[in-house]
Amino acid sequence: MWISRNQDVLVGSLLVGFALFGQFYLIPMGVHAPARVAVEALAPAFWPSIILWMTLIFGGVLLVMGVFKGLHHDPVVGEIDSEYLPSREAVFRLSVAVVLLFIYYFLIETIGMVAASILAILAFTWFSGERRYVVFVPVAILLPFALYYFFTAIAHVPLPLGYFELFRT
Amino acid sequence: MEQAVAAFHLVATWETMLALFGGVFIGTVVGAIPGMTVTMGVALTMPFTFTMAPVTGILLLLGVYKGGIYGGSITAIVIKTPGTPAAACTVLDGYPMAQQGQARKALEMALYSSCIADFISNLSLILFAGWLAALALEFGAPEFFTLIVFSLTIIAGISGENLVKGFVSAALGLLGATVGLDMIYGTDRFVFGQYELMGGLSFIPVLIGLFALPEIINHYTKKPTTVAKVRALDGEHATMAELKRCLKSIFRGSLIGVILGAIPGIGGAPAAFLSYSEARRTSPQGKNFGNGEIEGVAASEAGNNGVAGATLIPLLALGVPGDVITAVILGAFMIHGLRPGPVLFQENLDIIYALFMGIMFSSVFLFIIGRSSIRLFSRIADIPNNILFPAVLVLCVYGGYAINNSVFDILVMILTGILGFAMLRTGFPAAPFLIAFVLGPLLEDNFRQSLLLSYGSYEIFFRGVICWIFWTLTVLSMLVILERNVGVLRFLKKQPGGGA
Repeated sequence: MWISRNQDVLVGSLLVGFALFGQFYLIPMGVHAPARVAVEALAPAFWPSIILWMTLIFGGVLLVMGVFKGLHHDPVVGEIDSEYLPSREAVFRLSVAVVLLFIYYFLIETIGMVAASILAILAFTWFSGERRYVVFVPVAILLPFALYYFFTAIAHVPLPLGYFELFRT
Repeated sequence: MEQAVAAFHLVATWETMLALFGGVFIGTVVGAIPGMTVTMGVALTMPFTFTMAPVTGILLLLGVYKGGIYGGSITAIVIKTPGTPAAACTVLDGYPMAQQGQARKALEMALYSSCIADFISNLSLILFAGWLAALALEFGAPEFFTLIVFSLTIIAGISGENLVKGFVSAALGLLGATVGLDMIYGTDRFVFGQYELMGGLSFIPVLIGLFALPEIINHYTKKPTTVAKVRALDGEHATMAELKRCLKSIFRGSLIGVILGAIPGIGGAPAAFLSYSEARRTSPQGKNFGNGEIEGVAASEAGNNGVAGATLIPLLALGVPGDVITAVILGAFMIHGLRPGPVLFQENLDIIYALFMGIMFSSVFLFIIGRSSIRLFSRIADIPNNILFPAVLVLCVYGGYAINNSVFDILVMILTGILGFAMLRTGFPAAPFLIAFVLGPLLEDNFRQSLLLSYGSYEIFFRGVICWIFWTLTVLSMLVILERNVGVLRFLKKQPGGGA
């Protein structure tokens, strides 16, 4: 796990910032209240507001704990878990994985669920470093079709086919 | 009697039996794969149950749950890698037995112990759930509100190493549950013009996003590892004499599992370790524990599996999930238009009886599947993660889409997955998020209903003995958690001049 003395400070600050942003921007902009509410606790904004105050308090506690940790310990920053890649490589691979996820998402609407899933399996497996094409190419083709069959023929869920909509049976 | 006959008709169909059998099989496979969790297994199976009858679908999920708990012990014994956190205790004696060429014996004892404990746990569910549900019929909105507050504090408090992070996670889950239309006034909350959000964030995409995607994303930040090769399953079978010798520990472990399982938030791992330590303390073979003692395997598996049926007691009787898997199963009930709790016992007793009957069958199926497929399951860990995780990702996407036929839900799933990954890597437990997300609407609904009843007076939350009991339990659990938790108090005590 990436562990740093500053992590709690960073996460705590983010939580405090988020709670304040939610309290003073998200609730006024995103929660629509009727003109008149008989009991304040029944207002649509009451519950989200309470939760955000809770987040602010807990985020603040985390922040303070992080600051205390920083004061009383040597600042050690970096990975201490050998299970993970060095941070630069890990961040790069993480970024690629997330980008691939979004590409997969956008492809679903354009080329459909099956074709996008085939490409996704191929891309993610190759990205993992797997080079046994004889093993993973059949999986990449058969699994999306098998799932397509289950969801359309048995569960009657119409999956998006994008450009291949013409082939829908 | 009529209800029991109707229930029998619900459960005694080939679809239901096949679903239950398949569920136990899938669960055992998932549990036996290092890196896959039982929650992941239940989450990924859920989309396949949408079109099934409620009893069939829920029994399939319960089968996955029960199979998964047993499956976790297989890799714990064979390659020293527990498939589930609860199976970590099984490693202590299971792996040394495998090293001594007794893997088969250890696996068989784990199976026998699991089946016996599961059966006892199921019996406890049948005995106590109805009684508790009858008691809960007295509950009104304020009582349910205080009950849910109690459940949330205990679950958030003990589900991670850091108390504060557990509460933050629960708060984020509660916030996520507020998205959508307001239940009283019907106005928008955090919808921001996205009509897909008017019905709130869908349960399945959030579930898959929190519990499956983070593991997949995490895989890409890890060093490539070679999975330990599975040892040949040679050696002798477990004998009847050995089973007899372990029975005392198995029954004690089952009882410990039942008691701890019925309390929200405890889970299988503490039950397994407590059962193990009690067996070590009282067994004549106590000194051999940790060196490949078969009774150690039996005790830990009994504690672990004794939890499985008992966690369903608060779920079925009160509608409150005791852990993350029962929270998922609560979601499955809701998807099928059912609301667990005392009302379900009144209005859908046939379904309750059918679930009880099906659950009893699950112990039998677990035995059959485990006995006939030990060799197969022990090989499952050989599946390379490089191929497994992309395949699971595709399952996630199909499942995320299927609940509402909505591509938007896939986006929700991906975003929740990124959040879940961030939580995973910064030490925030995901379980309180999901449980709070499931309980959030109930909490708010009961809170507001109470205030509507009392015309805005907060005194209604202290109106009777039941409310006071739950408030007292909440305060007590908070004190216990604060005392025992590695979070705030221990941290403050460590500071120079701070605390004792």
